[in-house]
Amino acid sequence: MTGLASAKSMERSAEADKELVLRAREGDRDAFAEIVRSYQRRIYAVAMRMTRRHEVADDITQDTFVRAYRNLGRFEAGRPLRPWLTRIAVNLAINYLNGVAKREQPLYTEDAPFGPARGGSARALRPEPLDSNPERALESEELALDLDRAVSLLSLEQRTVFLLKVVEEMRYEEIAKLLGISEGTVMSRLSRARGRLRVMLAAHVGPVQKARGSR
Amino acid sequence: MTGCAELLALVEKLSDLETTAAETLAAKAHLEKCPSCRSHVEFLASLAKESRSMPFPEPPESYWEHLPRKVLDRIDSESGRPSDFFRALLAPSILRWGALGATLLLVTTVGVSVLRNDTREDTRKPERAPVAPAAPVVEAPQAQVAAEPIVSPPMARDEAVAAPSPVLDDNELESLPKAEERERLSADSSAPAPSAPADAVVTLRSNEDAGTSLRSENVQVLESANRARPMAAAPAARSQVVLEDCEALRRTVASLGEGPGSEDARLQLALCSLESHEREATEELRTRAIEDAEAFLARESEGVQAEEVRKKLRRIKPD
Repeated sequence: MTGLASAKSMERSAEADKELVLRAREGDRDAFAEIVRSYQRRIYAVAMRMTRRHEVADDITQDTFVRAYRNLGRFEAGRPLRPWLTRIAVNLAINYLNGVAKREQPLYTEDAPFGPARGGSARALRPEPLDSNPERALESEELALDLDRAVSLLSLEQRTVFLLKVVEEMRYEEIAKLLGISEGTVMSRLSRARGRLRVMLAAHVGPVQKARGSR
Repeated sequence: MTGCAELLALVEKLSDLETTAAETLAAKAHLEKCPSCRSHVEFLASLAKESRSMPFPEPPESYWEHLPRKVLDRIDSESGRPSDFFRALLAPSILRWGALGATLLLVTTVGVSVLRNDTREDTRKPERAPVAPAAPVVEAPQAQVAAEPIVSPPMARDEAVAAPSPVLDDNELESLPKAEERERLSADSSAPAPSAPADAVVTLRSNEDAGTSLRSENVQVLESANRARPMAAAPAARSQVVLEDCEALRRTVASLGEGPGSEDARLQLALCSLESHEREATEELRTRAIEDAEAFLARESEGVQAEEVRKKLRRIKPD
């Protein structure tokens, strides 16, 4: 089970969340601890995908819940907690990336080649089942590494929109509201992000898809 | 490929499941005759799938187990809530118990003294008539000395009740002294007050009602909190405070491990857990009390304190 799948399995219904929120507001620490337990993996995953550093993701995850606790009184009980917590985490991550991270050395650069040029045989970026063949597993690992690097090389704006839409599966409208931009801007940033990813991952993309990616 | 550029946004919208019914029909119609766009949709689907399963170094399971507690500790430390409590906890045991004993002795002495004066006033009224009114005035400063350490410290306990109370409004919460102020108040007093029992505060509040000059900012806050809180809720609230103290102790025990002060913390935790079960005899609290008591006894099986814990343990877990 991936981290995200495991995170999803921990999440609760809006009704159960409501009860916890109401109890936490009354000062029930166990209830708030339960909220943390339910969403910590999801929030950590968001922070980790955006910042790519455990210690930063850890800080952001803790800050997210501390801020949520302080603002529980303003949160409308009965609404889903996940988007609210995600919004806090994303804002914290963006603040971090706009500040500290810009002064730090990037984890990846575009200098190193993607895919087979690194020596391995690239797996095609197509929806096909993985099998337990070790060679395929290696290819899969290669693809994962390249995808990870490619996403990290997107601009902050593109990466944020891409992660929120593709990984967090948020709607355009939610993303627009979260980032304070229009839905059109969300779509255009997303389209540019995908275009860049297709170019960077050309080694993993089939011939027809390559042609489409060269637009 | 002609015309695809215009339809790209629509095709991407379709793969994002954001199209309207009409847009879906238009996009699907285009996809049927355009292999390039079909391939693009395939790419988007696989990109999404790979991205969602994109692994990152997962922290160990213990990280998830401890995170809720870390968050709660941060909330506590930012609100300054347990600082007094922890200061008391980390003080040498002998000082704490000594302070507790001295405090109780002073309270008892003051109480007895007041009672005796009352009695004397009643019996010797004709002879002492000119002096009698001075008696409470003489007692008041003594009471003040005793009160300072007793009144200030229980803030940590009472605030623990007051803060989450649904009946306290924001103004009342705002009026609670800040942690620094409480520390200053505690530091000003001569005895290590934080260990004074909450019950002692009740006694002093009664004196205050009788007109003695024990009023302080903290007492006012306590009164304000108590006025707002229904009286019937008091025992439950006290049990909740004890429970919270136990949780704070549990965290301390965990953080101290086997280091200096851990034995003392374990003793406090065992006593707290046992008290918690005495106040509310649930199976869960009984199990916790037994575990905490046995954890302490496993490390310290001799001495007065061990005997006390053992005695209380036997009440809930007969051999």
